Amino acid sequence: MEHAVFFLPDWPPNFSPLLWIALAVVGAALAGEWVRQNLGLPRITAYPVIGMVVAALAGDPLVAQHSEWLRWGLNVALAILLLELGSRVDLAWLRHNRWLLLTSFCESLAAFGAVFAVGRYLGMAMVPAVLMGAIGMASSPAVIMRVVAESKAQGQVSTRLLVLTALNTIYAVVTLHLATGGLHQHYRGDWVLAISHPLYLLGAGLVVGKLLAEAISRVDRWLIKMRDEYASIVLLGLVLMTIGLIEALRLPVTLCMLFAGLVLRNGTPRAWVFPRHFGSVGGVLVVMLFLVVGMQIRIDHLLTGGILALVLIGARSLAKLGGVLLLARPAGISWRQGLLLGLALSPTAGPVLVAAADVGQLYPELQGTLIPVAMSAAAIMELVGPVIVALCLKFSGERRE
Amino acid sequence: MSDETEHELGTFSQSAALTLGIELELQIVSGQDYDLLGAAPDLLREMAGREHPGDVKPEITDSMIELSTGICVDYVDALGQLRSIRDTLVHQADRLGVLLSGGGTHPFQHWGRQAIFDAPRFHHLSQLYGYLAKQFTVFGQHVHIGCACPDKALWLLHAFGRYIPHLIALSAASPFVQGVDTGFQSARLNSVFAFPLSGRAPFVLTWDDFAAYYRKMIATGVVKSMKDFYWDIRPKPEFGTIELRVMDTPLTVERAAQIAAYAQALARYLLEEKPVEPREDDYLVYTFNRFQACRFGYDGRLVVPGSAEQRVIRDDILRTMALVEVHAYDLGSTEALNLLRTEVLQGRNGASEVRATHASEGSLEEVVRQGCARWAGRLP
Repeated sequence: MEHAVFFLPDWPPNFSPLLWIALAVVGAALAGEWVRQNLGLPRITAYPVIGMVVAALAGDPLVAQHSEWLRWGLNVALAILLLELGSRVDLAWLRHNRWLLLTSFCESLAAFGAVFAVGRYLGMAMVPAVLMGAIGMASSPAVIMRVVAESKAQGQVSTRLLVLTALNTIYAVVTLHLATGGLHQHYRGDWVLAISHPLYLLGAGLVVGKLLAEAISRVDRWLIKMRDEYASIVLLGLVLMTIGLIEALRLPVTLCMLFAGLVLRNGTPRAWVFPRHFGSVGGVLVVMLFLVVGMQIRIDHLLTGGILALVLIGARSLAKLGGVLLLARPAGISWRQGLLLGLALSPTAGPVLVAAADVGQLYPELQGTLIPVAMSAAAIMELVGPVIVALCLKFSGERRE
Repeated sequence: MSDETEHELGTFSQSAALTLGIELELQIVSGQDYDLLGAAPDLLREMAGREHPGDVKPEITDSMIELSTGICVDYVDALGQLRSIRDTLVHQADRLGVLLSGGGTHPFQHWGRQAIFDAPRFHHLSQLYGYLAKQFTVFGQHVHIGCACPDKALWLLHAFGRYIPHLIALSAASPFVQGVDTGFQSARLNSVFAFPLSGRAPFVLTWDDFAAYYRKMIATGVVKSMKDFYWDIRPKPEFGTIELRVMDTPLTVERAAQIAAYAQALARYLLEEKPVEPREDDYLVYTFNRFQACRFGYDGRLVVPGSAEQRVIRDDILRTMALVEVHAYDLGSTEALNLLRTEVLQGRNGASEVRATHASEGSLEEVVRQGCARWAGRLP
């Protein structure tokens, strides 16, 4: 008998992980809709949960096998979010309202102090405690941008929420890089490296951000005349190019993109508004972003940090709330608005976590102490954060759905 | 206010003849996307307890705010008060990261996205008028002119009817609605005309007759107080004034004061020289003239009441300015009249400025941004 051409697939068929991921995306999108309609919560609350469930069912290889292109997709999603977030910072406003700038310093410093103190109290070494404090400063740009955008919230609480988030993310990244310098000194005793590395990251990061902003404002004249979709494509292309550049130069995405947005908004007096479809492109990627974040959370993650993680979350949230409330009235918001704003700042930042993971890879000694607690706290806030922000916006009366 | 019917018309208060009061409805604009922003409660909270002349009040949707002067004796007084309130408001807006703008309409706001200000009267109006209430997110200037007695007020009200197109053309600043160039110079007034009780006041010349008319209207149940009449000019018994309501909020307080000064000089001219006796038949051409002013501004044509003579509105304004010049001089508003005349000669008003900005900048967001800078007095 001749060898038959066997065209039928293996049995059981060998499904590629891509299929599972696609299925997870569909599931997440539908679950998001269900959550919104039945619980009145933002869609993104559902995404990490679905990601967690899918990862639990399909096992680890899912993320591991595709980590390269997933990481790339996430970078794009984050870059778009951060560019938009940066463009929300109106420097003229901060000039007119110094109290707002002071609020920003105050809540970031308080959060840093709280997280650092908890870390030290629990016997963490100086450097990891500083790193964790730096991570603790940042509110999650992804969660906050998405919840504000989804609920179409407009007003003092939501606008200040975005501005404070952009600012505390910048502080966090800068502190983190300075602390990295400290690490170099601590572990290697290399002063030149300690100074030049953070200087390179921050300096080059700012230059790339400025370049992107310049490029966008150069094409702005054409963008106005283009149909919205096509203007979005041009912008997206520019963002992708920048990401390529950032990767090649090994620079922090967070800082570059935030700074690009900031320059875009404040570089010229001209009104800058993103084309509407640009946000939609980001919206699709955001489903992926939160899904993947969820996939990285394992049930035991939520538990390993244990009480320490909860204490950390509590101390940090209270510190942020206190920082905001302290200056609420001079900064021009009511006590009630201050309360809601302070609470809404509590979600922890994914991108800073990524940065911490990078540092962890450079210095494996930290893996044991820093990463589990921070991961655990971040995982809990990843699930709870969107709900907190959504509720704060709801009570502020700024939702326009 | 909303549920209590005022069965009798209040007595007409005493007020010094030809004093002025100005109310301006302002747009509250987001510093982020330049769309309207419901920040009236925030602004009012931060304004509370600050020293300034006049008053600042909420309006029907929470993206509007109204400023008003106290009683002004003349143009200089009015301008001083307006500037002072404007500066206080702009300072608070700066702290909140929001912007304020003049102009009769916001160029690209969507009426469906506006929210009714949380107060009983506004909720009542919203229930009664439905979407009209939200579409009423338009911004006008009201000028009060003090009248010594109610009969004189009614006489002046009807004598003024003929000059309504002037006030519209001079103040017109609402060419864009919902992102589209309407072709009108004052598209705002089209929103006002949708209301059933808009238009002109009934032709009665004595306060007793007016009170009788008011009682009849109350009896029908259609209105509950003077506030329910949306006439172009209406008597305001509490203040002892007539209130001119056809103007768009101009782009600057300076322009608002100039227009008020022109109205004041015109009132003095009418009362002292009595060039015409108002008649019911004057109103035959009223809506035609008003439409021409809304649509074409200075280039519109008006029919002189009581004749078949057609004039270009620009010429009619210039001619009238010559007639009231001496009164403007006596009232101390020669400067205002000269500035306005220059604008008319150059064919410039708020609408033409908004269109010019749009033509040169290409984006309505930028038009709004510059409008806010101009209102704050920060545009060279």
